[in-house]
Amino acid sequence: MNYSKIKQSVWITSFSAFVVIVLIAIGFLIITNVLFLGLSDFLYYAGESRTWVSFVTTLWTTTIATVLSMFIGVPVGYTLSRYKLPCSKLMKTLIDLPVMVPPVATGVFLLGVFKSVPLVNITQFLGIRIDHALPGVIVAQFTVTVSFCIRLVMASFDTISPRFEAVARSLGADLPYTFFKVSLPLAKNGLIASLIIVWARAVAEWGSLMLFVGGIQGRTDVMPFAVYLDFISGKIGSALTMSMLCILIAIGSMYAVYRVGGKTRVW
Amino acid sequence: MIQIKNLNVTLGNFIMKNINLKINTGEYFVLLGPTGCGKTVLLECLVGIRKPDSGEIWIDNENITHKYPEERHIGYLPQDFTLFPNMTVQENIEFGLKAQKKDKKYIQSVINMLAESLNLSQLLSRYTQGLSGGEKQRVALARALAIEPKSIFLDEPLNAIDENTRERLSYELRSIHDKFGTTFVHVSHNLEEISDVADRVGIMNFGTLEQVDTIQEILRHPVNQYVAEFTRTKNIFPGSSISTDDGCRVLVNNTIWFHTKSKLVGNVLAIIRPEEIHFNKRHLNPSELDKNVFSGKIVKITNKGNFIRLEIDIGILLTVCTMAYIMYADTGVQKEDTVSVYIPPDAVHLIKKI
Amino acid sequence: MLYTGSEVKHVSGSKWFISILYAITVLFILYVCWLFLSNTGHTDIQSILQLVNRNWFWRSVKLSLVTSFITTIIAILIGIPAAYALSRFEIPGKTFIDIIFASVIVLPASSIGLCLIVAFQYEPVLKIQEALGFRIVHSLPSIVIAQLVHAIAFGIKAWRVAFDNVNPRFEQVARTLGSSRIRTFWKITLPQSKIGIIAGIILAWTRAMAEFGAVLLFSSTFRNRHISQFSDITRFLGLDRADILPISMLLEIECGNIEQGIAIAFVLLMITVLSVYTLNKIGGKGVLS
Repeated sequence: MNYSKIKQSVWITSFSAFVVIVLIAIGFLIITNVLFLGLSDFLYYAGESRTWVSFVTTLWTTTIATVLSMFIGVPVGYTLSRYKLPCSKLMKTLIDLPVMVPPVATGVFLLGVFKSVPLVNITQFLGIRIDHALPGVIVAQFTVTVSFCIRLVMASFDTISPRFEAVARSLGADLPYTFFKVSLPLAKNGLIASLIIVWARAVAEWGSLMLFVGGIQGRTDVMPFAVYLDFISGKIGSALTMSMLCILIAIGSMYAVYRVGGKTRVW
Repeated sequence: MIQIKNLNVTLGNFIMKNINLKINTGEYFVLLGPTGCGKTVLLECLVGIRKPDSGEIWIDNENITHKYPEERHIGYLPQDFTLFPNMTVQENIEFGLKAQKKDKKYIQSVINMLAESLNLSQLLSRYTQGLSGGEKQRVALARALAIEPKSIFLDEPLNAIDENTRERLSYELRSIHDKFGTTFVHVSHNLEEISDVADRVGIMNFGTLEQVDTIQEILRHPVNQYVAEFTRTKNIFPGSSISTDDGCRVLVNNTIWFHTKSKLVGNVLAIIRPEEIHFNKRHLNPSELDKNVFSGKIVKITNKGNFIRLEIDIGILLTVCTMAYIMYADTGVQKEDTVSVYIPPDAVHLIKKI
Repeated sequence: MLYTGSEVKHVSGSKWFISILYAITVLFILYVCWLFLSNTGHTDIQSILQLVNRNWFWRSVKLSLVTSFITTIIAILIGIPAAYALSRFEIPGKTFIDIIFASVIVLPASSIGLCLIVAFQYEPVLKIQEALGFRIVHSLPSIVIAQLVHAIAFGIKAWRVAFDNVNPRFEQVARTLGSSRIRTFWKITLPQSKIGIIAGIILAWTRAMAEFGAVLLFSSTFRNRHISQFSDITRFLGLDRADILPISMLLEIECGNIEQGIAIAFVLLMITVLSVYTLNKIGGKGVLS
């Protein structure tokens, strides 16, 4: 091996070392947890009804929140990708805010909104409760993920050349037809990837639930919340099991994004 | 017929001023200009994906300036053809007809007709990724032709195609044009690429349309220095001209008089087409020198592959001649040979000096 | 004038469709504005003044700033080289690494906090801590560790995009001109990816400021601890008996000081608005998505 080759490998190794550091740190976190919990305990707690209730609650609330997010995210993301809003930087800042504000603060803001006119009157009139109840979980998950969703959808549409739409238009297709038959199918992979990421983000949401919803055991405690509740009440095994499940969901969904994304890199 | 009336477009620093143009029905029209001259902008205005600031665009006695692209009944082929990658060739071709909710039988008959005349029958069920450049071009044309457009706009269609196939594809474009008789408007920056397909050519400068004519006329009689330089005319000499009985006499470089048939007096540029210069190996005595006959020495011979270029020093000027190799071999001249040169008065074209 | 060929984006069309698109966008923006503005009714100048006069508030601001800056610096030192390596080199198992790093971003904060607690209670690690005479869990430095997890994951993602946007050909050309690798990195790669790197730094810092769940579990709260539990240097710097801002807010609201809690929430909101606006202004492409 000659001198320059050694230099080359030293250069690559020294940079890659930092990747290895991060990887070891993450690996260390996960492996110590796995060792601490052990397979038998994991299986025992995973079979507990407490875990299942929490898991099912998480599943359906996040699914509804994700669908709602996509309903807002696709049109807004497409608009941001194709048209220029007035004071676009300010508008984009506003759109990005809910995902960047500390989630616990978002929770406080949500609480405030549902305690002030007109929402407080509307919910009273309808006789429903949003805060400190299950619908609040969905509202919080939706609020936190929707900005994320808009950004991701915008990025997926940005990769589709507007020329495709121009050609479709010249062939006599009007804008809605072009949107549904050309833009959406072309952005399909990006949109599915966005959907999975948004869902995974919704599953991870906890901070905003802290004050807005609160953890009513067996009712509003989605998994991240249940991890916290079980931890402070000393049920370490249950907390760790659900924490593991959350990690598995996160890794699994990112793997799915990788499989779907193909060439369109989302992260 | 397409008519552009006083079209103005401003895009940041780029300004396109007062474009007036008529394109006849069934014509193969080419917009030619260097990169960034605004030809694509003009095409985008015609297609309807860019709004002009003022002016009007008419197609067949219908003002379409403010119409959406889908209401214009035109075809649009951008660079690299942008075939929909999520559809098969057949779905690509029938896209426009389906969008217009034509009935199934009609769609099928159109596809059969196009597949046959554009030789696409084997490709119909394939996706567009693996197609060759020529196949992509035919599919894109079929897709545009399916809706029976009044005219088809092509934006640098041969740009991304390699040198060898380009000639075949431009020939194919012309033959499809002749077969269907649709008006073609083709944007290009490459003179060679379009010289055998265009009926008429419009030369664009940055934001202005300089000259509209047949390719032959543009090459022989460019209206100004810009057009002459863009069409890579070799012999452009500044001089001053005075009027004579049957034209002008131009004094170039204070030493040489050219006789010409064009009538333009004052400070001018004399343009001499290289192909029309005659030369002979026979040496002439000064007494034999007649109107536009000069004695010169060959200073450079360049082999350009399919033709030969000679540079001849007549007095002080360098003249450039081009000829086929066989003809060059016949003349038997070599470098450093002294030759006599004759420039027909027709071949000298005068334009105003800017 | 030369036309530099801007991409056609806007093709207007059927009015009702565009109107619906714009309407949804405007509605969403209004929702965001309303989410924040309607809360101004729940706080007032007086409680903000009260808040500002309290000792722990300024100590909390200081603590938040100090910890988030330390976190950001560590994230930069580790994250930028790591991102460069991921962007440029053929590392074995790159897909796996990508998936792991991406999943950290979508990990619940409570999971991260719990993982950290368990990891630092792990026998060998505990022994190292005992040997050094220092316990990490529930100590002030643990805040930095808790903040680092999300901050570095977001940072690496952003910096990687920044490096990906620099064509490696520039580096190759610089190398052929005799520039060393280090010089090329400093003179060619870094200046060209400057905007993306700055955007990544802002993003990592905003994330560190916003981190709440992991800190709550891993570091717990400090305000009600006795002053003797803090080291001399902490007291000297005035970082004792204080919590980072998100946790201070939680404590205030749980104590019933809703007005002051919401006032802190607005402080956090202002910080976020500033950094997100800066991100949009400098236009760090692909950073936020």
